[in-house]
Amino acid sequence: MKILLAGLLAFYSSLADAGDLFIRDAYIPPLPPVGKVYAAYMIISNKSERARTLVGVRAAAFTMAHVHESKIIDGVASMQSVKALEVPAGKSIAMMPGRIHVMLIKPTVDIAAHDTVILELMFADGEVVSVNAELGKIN
Amino acid sequence: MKSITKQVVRSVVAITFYLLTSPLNAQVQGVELDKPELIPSFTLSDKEGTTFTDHDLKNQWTLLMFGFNSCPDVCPFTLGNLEAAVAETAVRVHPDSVPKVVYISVDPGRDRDVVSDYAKFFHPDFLGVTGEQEQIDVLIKATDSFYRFMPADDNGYYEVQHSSSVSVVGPDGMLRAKLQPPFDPGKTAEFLARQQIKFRRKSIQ
Ligand SMILES: [Cu+2]
Repeated sequence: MKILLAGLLAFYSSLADAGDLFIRDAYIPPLPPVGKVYAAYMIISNKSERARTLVGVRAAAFTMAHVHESKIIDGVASMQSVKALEVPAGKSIAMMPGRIHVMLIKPTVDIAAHDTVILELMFADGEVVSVNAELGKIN
Repeated sequence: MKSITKQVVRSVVAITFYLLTSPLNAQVQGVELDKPELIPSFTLSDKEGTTFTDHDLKNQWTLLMFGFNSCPDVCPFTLGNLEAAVAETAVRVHPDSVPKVVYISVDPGRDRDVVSDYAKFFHPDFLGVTGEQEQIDVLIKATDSFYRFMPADDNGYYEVQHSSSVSVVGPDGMLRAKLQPPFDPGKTAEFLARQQIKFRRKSIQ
């Protein structure tokens, strides 16, 4: 029974459903213990008929969380802050390595592989959607 | 007549298909230098005092990657892809020719004590080193690379912009090619194996 419950929880935790915003496949790739700056990736789908805009992320397990976009310009890799990430009506936005990511700086608690990290995605209309991202997963 | 039309249609379809797919196939994984360049002498090290110098470039293939440990996205992604690319290369080349991956942190201030542990996490054979900024700069210049420290934010976090390409150094200590993102494992391995064949042919001549 316990196992079944855990399985069910795991199933639900991988999907965040907040009406018309669906967040799935949230994960944080593994880092060595000496690594202090992580990245989270996920797919945000907007099933509604109006555009929705991600304006920030909160992560209690980290000192800071920022939405960033990696860019390679003239062979040089850099990151830019994404203040507003629009998810058009009926569309999905995929965060992925080398592109848009949630940068997570310095864990405030001990985190280990297979832990789940709660990320709160804040949208421009005030809606906050929580999603559980698994640490140590490679997509 | 009918069959000719069919054939023409088929060719057109084939050409269109080729045109549509070729930009992806032609995606550059590596660029060979017109003229190989000698890497000058330098000394880098890790916290255990293990040194990495120009002498270590001899008699093996080396992949030099620049980065910094507080790089959340591009660096772990590159190291992960290099691990896969080297594994793919290992099935194509002689065990002695499997390239050694050396991760060089351009951020010794934050990374000096942890750079080797960081690199080893991605593969136990990966070497992670850093050093005096001027020694790092010798390699940066020799590989036509670049890095720049960005201003710190309110929490003290600073980014270090850096070249995304990986330098391929031959067993003669010469810079021979550059690998470029996204470092597709199969294509990168193909490119490296081809570089090695070319190198051997030239050495025999
Ligand atoms: Cu970032």
